[in-house]
Parts: sequence; C-alpha cells; structure tokens
Amino acid sequence: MAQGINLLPEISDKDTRTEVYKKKVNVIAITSLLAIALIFMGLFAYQLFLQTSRSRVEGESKEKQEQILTQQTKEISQRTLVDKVTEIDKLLGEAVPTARAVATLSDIAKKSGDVLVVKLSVRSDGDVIFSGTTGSTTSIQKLFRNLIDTGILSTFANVSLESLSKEEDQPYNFTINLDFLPRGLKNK
Amino acid sequence: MNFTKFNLASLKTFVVPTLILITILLIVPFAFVPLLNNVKETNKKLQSEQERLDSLANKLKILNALDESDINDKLAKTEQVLPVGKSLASLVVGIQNLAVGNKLSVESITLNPGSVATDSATTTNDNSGASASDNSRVREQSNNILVLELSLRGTVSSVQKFLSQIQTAKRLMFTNEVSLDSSEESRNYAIKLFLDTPFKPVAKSEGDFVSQPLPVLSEKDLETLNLVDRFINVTNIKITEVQTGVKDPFSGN
Repeated sequence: MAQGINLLPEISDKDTRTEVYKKKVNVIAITSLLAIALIFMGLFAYQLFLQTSRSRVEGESKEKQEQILTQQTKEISQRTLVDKVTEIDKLLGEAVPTARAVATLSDIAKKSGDVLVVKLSVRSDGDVIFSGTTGSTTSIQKLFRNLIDTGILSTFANVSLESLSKEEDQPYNFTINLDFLPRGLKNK
Repeated sequence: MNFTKFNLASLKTFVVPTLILITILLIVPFAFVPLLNNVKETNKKLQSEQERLDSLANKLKILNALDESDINDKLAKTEQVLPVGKSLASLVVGIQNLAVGNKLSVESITLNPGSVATDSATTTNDNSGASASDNSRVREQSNNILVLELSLRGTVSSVQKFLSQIQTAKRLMFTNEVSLDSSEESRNYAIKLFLDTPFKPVAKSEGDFVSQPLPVLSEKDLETLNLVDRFINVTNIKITEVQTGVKDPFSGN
C-alpha cells in the first residue's frame, strides 16, 4: 500500500500560538492608537465648541454691558441710595436713646419725693451717673425702689449707690451709677 | 550562547506595535495633556463668563425695572438725613434754632473742622454772635462723624424736649454724651452735650464695577426710609454764600 507524502510544512502548536499572539498585539496597538486619535479629536472638537461658546458669551456680555453703561447714572444713584439707607438703618439701630434716659430718670426723681437732680450724665455706652440731693432717706429708698421696679427692669441694670453723704443741716447727697439698656431710635 | 540562532525576522512583527507605543507615549505628554489643560482652562473661563453674563442680565433686568425719578426722589430725602458732606453752616444754625426753640440758652457750639482745615477756620457760635475761638473742640472721627460740643443752659424738661427733637431730626444727630449739672439749688442746669453728626461721602467703586450685582431696597430699608421721612427737618436753612478773598465781607461790595 502506497503511503502519501504531505507536502505542506508541518505547523506546530507553538507557531500557531505565536501567530495568534502577534495578531492580537497588532490589533490592540492599532485599536489603542485609534482610541487615542478619537479621544484627541473629541477633545479638539470640544475645545472648538468651548471657544465658540466663549466668544458668543463674551459678545452677549459686551452687549449687556453697553446697555448697563447707558443707565450708569441710574445705577450710581441706586447704589448711593441703598448704601445710605443701610447706613441710616445701622445708625438708628445702634444709637442710645438719651432723651428717653433723661426723661425716665427725671420722672423717677419726681416720683420719689423731694429728690433734686444735681448732676445727670448719660454716655454713649449707656453708663449713667445720677447725683442728687434729698431731705430724707425715705426718698432715697423710694428712688431705689423705683429704679429697680420690675416695670423698668429692661431699662436699667447694675443700679448701685456710689456714695451717700450728709452734713449738718444739709440734705443727703447721693450718687448712683447705673446702666441704661435700651438701644436704637427706631421704636420711638 | 549561540547568537546565530537569534532570528531578527521575528522582531519585524513587533515594529508596528512598537511604533504605535512610541507614538502614544509621545502624543500623551506633548499633545494630549496640553490639549486637556487647554480644554479645562477654556471651560473654566467659559463658566466665569457665563456667570458674568447671567449677573449682567439680572442687573439689566433690575435696572430696567427701576424708576430713575423715584430713586432720585428717595436719594434727595436721604441726603437730608445723611448728607455727603459736613454741611456745617446749616447744621450749626439748625441746632441753635432747635435749642432756642426749646427755651435753652446756647452758650456755645464748638467745632473743630479737623485736620483738613486750619486753626483759623475753627469757629464758635455763641448767643452773643459768631466769633472765632481757639479753644473750640470737635473730634472728627475717621468714620465720617463730626462731633460738636454744645454748652447750653436750661431746665430738664427743655433738655428732654431738645434731645427728643434731636433724635427725630432729619439730619441724623446722635447724643454721644449728655451731662446736666446744677451747682446751685435751682432748676437751671448747665448742659454739656456731645453730638455725633454723621455724613457719608459717595463710595468709590472698585474692580469689575459693571458686573457687580445691583442692590435693591429691602422692606426694612423702605420702612427706615418712611421713618426718616417723618422726621423734622431742622437744617433746611439757606445760608447765603459770600465771596471769599475780600477784605471786608460785610461791606456789601
């Protein structure tokens, strides 16, 4: 029986694997390059889009800016107005109502009997020095009671008798220190 | 080691991937990264431009809605309350009138125009007539407040009324310190008063002024505006200006 001769060269498994491997490497390399190229082009296109958008936005901004500049005087007036009103509001809110302090203390002195106000000083931080004379200690008692009266508790604080003296045939001299608490002139 | 067996032909198959790898390695740092940075930068600029455009559009909308005559009307009202300058003449005369109106005798209103003016510009207004004085005193603070010292004489009720009117005067005045002193047993007090009279020069704008948002009056601001509008105007006194540099300003020439 005659035996046939295989004319094709014998390809080993190793050679086959190598070929497949080479092919894979080439495909991966080309795919990567294509991917990079695609990303690059995408980025380039996006950059172009951004630049175009920016130019458009800049154009619109310029247009609006010109429209605003035509109303410049109105803007300056509005800014000045708001600025001033804010400042007025702040000043009115922080001020010490000294008229109220003088009125309240004067009323309390009147209510307390024969108390005569000799010296009354109200400072911007609310510190009050109240000096006076009176013929009796009962009036001083009354004065103190009126000063720390619950009705005006929110008006005065830290009421303290600084000095009390008396000379023969002379009325009592007293000095009271206290804090005047209210602030602001908006609730008159 | 047999180098003759090393087949150079096998390397040929890696030429294309190697070239591609080199290309990628070169493209990434020299073209890809700069482009990416450029895109990021442009995007950032676009965003800020867009924000600016939105701000401008919003501002334009507010500006178009505002009535200029109404603004000017309100501004004129606030000018009476908080003027741009010191407006000393009308202020001093106004305070004096207010004190006299409340039965207080004005012994002196002293003021020191501050570092800008010379000592000779220091004035004293007393009940015997205006005269220059060296011992006048007004502390001008850095925050646009002019302080006047008033020496008055009168009763407690007169001071009370005066202080009350000062607090509701259209030109804002705040009592910094008030002291009533009675050395003798009388109802007539020597009153010393420090009045803070604020003023507000027009603020200077800085930076991108056009795109800065436009402030609008809030409800609270309008309430304040209505409140001060009800205040009494004590400084609306027209002071006739005289020509400067003349030898005798009372000659009438």
